[in-house]
Amino acid sequence: MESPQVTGDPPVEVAGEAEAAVVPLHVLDTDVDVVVSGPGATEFARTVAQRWHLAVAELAGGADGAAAGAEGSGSEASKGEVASVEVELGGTAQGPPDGVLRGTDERAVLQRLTQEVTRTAIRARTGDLLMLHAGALAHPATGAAVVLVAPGGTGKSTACRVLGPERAYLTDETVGIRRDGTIAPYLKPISTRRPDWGGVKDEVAPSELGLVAPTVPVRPAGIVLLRREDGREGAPEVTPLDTLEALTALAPESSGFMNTERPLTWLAELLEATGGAVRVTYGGAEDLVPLVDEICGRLS
Amino acid sequence: MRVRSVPVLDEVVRDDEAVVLVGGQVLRVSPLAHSLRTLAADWTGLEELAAGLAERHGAPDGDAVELLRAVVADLQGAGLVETGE
Repeated sequence: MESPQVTGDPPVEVAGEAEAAVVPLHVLDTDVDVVVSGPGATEFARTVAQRWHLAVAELAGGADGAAAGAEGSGSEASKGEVASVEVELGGTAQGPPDGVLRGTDERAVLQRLTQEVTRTAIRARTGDLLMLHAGALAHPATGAAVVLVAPGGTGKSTACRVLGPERAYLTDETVGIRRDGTIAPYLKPISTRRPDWGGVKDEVAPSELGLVAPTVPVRPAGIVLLRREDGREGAPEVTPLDTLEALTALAPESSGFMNTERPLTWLAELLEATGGAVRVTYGGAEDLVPLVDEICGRLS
Repeated sequence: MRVRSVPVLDEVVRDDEAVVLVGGQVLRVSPLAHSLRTLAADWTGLEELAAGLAERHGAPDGDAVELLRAVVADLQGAGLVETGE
């Protein structure tokens, strides 16, 4: 099918005569096309491209190249395969389980799209990447990254939003670590819970929050398990974890772990190469600044 | 009763303890259980196992074989060993 390029920024491909559009994303070393159809498809695709601007394929290719290409790795994981996520606007949200996202509420569809892109990329990269439920930020010059591990809804996105400016943003959802030790960026929008949105998260473009993609190869310099306690005041409590403690704490916060070759050994080697993991109990993300500064200040 | 360790998909050992991946679970294995699994790499009788564990970890209070039988049952439940006659 011919896919003429719509002029303007961000890039969106319009497909065919019926209203449909494609947003090509590159996430976690995976090409994922977001294929949108139905009334308002072009406009919705532009919104997707705007919110996902750091992950739009031609742009993300540059970021990935910077993150891994200097060492000649990274892009090989794509293997030339393109996964897709289909969105049908105007359809009923309770459609058949055919994998197509349907709906009319833009905010809800954007949130479900994020979830589906995540699932798609994780499925594609299982076995290739060591994937942790984590946000990650890096020193913009050295690429030394802090990996902030936490279950959903317990502080990853907030930490990225608060601590991300002045650092390179890698993800607020899934950190994918390649066999060569570099991180495959997942430059998704920041998912932000809004109290007046009835549980639907706002998918915010990273640029709106002053977040930028890495321009140098990025490697984990330290792994932090976040334990946020609402109302806690004072300095965070930082507890070092030995390798076995860290393995049992991190394994539940991983994706595709059971289908990865020798994942415990891989993770143990990563932990010991980065000085081990710490668990930090804290009240607000700003309390994490000294720890994040220390980790991102390590030589990678 | 004889006991044999079940192969695991992955194992990390540090200071006589281990974390293993078996049956879709990540399990922390205590020093005693790790020794038991090491000693029972092939089918091993309870008496021989009890002697080997006593050598490494000291003799327990009470009937070592009966105590070991309970440990083995726990490890079997976790998928870390199998038993036979």
